[in-house]
Amino acid sequence: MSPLVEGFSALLDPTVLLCIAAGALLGMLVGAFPGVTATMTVALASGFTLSLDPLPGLAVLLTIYVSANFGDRVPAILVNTPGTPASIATTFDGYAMARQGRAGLALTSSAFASAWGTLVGVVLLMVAAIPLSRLALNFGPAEMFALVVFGLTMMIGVSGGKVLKGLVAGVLGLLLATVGRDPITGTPRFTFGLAELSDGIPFIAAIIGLFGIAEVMNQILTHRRGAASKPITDFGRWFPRRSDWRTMLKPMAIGSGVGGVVGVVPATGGDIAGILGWDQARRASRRPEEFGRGSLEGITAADTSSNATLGGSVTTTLALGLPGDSVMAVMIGSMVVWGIQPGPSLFANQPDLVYSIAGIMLVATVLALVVSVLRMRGVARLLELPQHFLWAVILVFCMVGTYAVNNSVFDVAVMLVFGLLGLFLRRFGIPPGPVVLGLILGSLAEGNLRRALEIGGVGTIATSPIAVALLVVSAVALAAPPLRSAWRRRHPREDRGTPTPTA
Amino acid sequence: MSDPRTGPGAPPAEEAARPGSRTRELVPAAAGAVLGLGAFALALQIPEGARLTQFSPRWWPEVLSLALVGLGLAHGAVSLLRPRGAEEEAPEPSTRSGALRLLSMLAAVAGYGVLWYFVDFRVSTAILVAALAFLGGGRGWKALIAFPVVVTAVLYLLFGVLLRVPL
Repeated sequence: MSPLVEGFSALLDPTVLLCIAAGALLGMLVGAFPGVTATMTVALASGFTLSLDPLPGLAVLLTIYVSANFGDRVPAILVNTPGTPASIATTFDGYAMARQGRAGLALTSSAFASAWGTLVGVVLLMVAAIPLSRLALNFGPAEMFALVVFGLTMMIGVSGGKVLKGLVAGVLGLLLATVGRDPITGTPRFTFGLAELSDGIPFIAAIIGLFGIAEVMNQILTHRRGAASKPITDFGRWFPRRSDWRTMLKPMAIGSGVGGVVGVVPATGGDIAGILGWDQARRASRRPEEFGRGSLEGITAADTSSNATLGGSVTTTLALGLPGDSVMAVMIGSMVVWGIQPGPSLFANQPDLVYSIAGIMLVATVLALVVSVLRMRGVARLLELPQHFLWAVILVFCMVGTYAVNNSVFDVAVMLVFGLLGLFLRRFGIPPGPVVLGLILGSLAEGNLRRALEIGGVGTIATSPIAVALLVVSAVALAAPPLRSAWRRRHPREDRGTPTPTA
Repeated sequence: MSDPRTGPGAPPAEEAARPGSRTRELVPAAAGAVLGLGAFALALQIPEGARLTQFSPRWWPEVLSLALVGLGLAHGAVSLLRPRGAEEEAPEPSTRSGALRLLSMLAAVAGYGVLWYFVDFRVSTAILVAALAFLGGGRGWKALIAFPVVVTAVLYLLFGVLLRVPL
């Protein structure tokens, strides 16, 4: 049987379909709550999906990933607050449209643009994943080490210009990954005699702590009564007319291209792609002056681009073992526990998995689109739910979910410690993403570096064109943000016109 | 709640972002350096093993802990040398009531750990959810009775019944 047929037919299992439906519902709901990110939800869901088989588990996590990128547009459009960072660019035109009485049109066209973007990404996944993993199969220890450095530096490079803090976070993650047995000799390190630490710091507990508990603690710490905005209630017309569809075609094409490319770059997600796609569509538009003032082209480009990254992110994650974005970094943790090691050999051994994953994402997209178009008004009502319900649910789910992974109270304690660490990082502006990435990739980095150095010293790395190229790009990615800031300080321009994210 | 309002129509810059302080930069720098030193001291105690390979198990942790010390010092130096006012934006300010609420909730979570040991999961979890809802500002039977019962039932069904986790 061909991998395509085998991969898609695996989805006919009713358990998988049920998991997709559950994931879609959960993803839409959490996306609609500002402050609950897809990363946090996937981390949270890891707690209960680990008890499932890999495919149903992946179905839940991937569907949350896809549908959260639909639900998060609702608060972006109705209260000017992105549900997740991926919908930052949606606020640029979405909220302006809603204030003009066109909230219904904004929500529907955003859903169609998001669906189109996701489909483009899935096609990219189906076409590029296997060739990319075959190429990466030729990588030796030097190239693999350089690849890990590349992934880590890309995540640091895009962390809002905080290069030094990003580096501290990345090194901290790598250091935390040394807890447990040495990957080559098996010598225990930093275990303090605790048997629970001999396999290293439990990934899932650490991830739930850093992304789930820390975020909730930060919200509790900074919450102010009456600070929430009242959502828009005048929706206007919902469905795009033929002229609207014509207007949407060009930004959809631009957004697809931008999102597809950005998605493949490790560690860059929908937030960056949305802003880049919006900016490129504005440059190409006949009516650039309308961008930021309720442009249908603007919201279409932003949402297409943001969602087109999804397939690329999954491709990079599974084919190279490098997380395409922070959600995928969390998902790698779950996959490792399931015994699926993302990386070049994964698709060589299980090519049908590409198509199963693509199939899950396709079904999830269709479901999320249908829910978006039919039930946007219902999802919008969620914005009025009091915050304390959300805090209690997240805290309790985090604890019970973490306990459920290994039936271990120790894991719950680790989760709480990492929650406090995550809160410290957030309060002092240190990105948590590189910590998780370092924690997940640390063993891979160390093992390959030591093997490369054992084989032929530094020369093994210096004589590999691929390793050198990856390390040079990594150095550029780290040097670019401070150099760009210095350049802008010396050559100030009045208005660059592209809003930039602050969170 | 993170509230990245950035688009046109966003609040004025002075409302949306606050300048950071030098202390806010120096604290993580110092923490990084101290953590690196501590890790280095601990790394020295890792057994070297039979030295079958060129690099001992303590080599990588030593490299990383020294890198952390170096980065912490570099971060501190950059923060001190940077002109005033050029610091990164500060996060949303914490509130006194928020800090108290957080501490109370953490205490409730710790209490839950003890209670769960002695009392059935369904009872202890419902009490915890009610406590968290109360501390979060929830009042009335919906927040303090109906909500905890529903959440506990969902958790028990999902983990205890469907996934067969021994709760």
